[in-house]
Formats: sequence, structure tokens, C-alpha cells
Amino acid sequence: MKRKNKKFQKRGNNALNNLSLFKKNDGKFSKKKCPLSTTNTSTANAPIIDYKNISLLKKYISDNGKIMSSKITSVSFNKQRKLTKEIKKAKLLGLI
Amino acid sequence: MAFYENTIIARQDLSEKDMVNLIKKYDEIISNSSGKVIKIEEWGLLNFSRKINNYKKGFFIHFKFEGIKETVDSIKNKIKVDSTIIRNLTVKYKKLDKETEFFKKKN
Repeated sequence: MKRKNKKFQKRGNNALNNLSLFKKNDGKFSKKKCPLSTTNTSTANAPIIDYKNISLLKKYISDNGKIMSSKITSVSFNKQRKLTKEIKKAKLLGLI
Repeated sequence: MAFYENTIIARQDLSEKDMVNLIKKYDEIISNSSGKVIKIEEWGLLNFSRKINNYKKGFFIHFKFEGIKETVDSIKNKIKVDSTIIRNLTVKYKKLDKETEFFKKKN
């Protein structure tokens, strides 16, 4: 019990702990929101996911032509499933 | 009745007369087999990202139409025989977006 009390006091006394830079996150990480959904984007209209809309699809493809994972791009699960289908259609036509 | 989109890639070395005939040909095939053509778009000559059948470029034609299963089957059977067409793609839709054009030519 004594030890616990000492530790708590030390933290509180240190002036650096109050600064935002040195404050520890309590296991909370702010997750990015999906860039393709309507509720999260600043503009009212969400971009159309379609195999004709090449300029959008090219953003979610690596240089070698692989589809980027949603861990990197933070696209939601529902939209990622749509994206992969449309990218494969565009590849078949030789557009990408 | 459902909505369909059909894109055809024709060979690059066709003359302008052949292109007009080719569009007219598939327009008639759709309308003859109980279908209705809504819109025809010509995307023009586009570069492929990689070689397809030893061709680097192709002429893209895009049909939007309403029809039944037999209309799609009749088009697919005609495309199989046609040697001027390199690739094709048909997609089924419940609602069709008629206004947005992604391959519009800038004047």
C-alpha cells in the first residue's frame, strides 16, 4: 500500500506530466474515419465508387497494381468490399 | 426488366465507316431482342495499362440499355463470333445512373 501511494505522488508532483506532450494516452487511439462515406466527409456528396471512375480507384492501388488494405487507407469494411469488385472490373477492361 | 451496361473494346485499326457500322449493328441486336437502348457513349481511343492480344490501344463503346435475359445472351453470342472485338463487360443494375459521364472529352 505504501509503495502505491508513493508512486502516485511522484507522478502528480512532476511538472512535465501536466504538459500535453508528456501526457500518456490511456490506451485510447483516435481512429481515422472512412473517406468514402457521406457522414464523415466534409462535403455533402460522397464520391461514386464505379469501374468508370478511374481517378478515384487509382488512389487505392499501389504502384505494382495491388489493392491497398483497409488498415492503411482506413476505408470502412462495406466500402472496401465494393472497391475491390470495381477495381477488378476496371482491370479486366485494361483501364488501370 | 432490368438495367444493363455493356462496354465493348474494338480493334484500333478499324476505319471510321466500320466504327459507325459496328455501333449500328449492336444497337439493332439489342432492339430486336426485346430490349431498349437508353444511351450510347463513345469513349474514344484509349491506351491500355498493359498489352491485350498484342494491342496497345482500343476503341471503347459503352451501351446503357433495358432488357431481359435473352437480350444479354444474344449480345454475348454475337460478340463471341465477332473478331473485331477484343474484350467486353456486362454489368447488371437495379438503378441506372444516366447523367454522370466519366470519359467526357474536354473542349
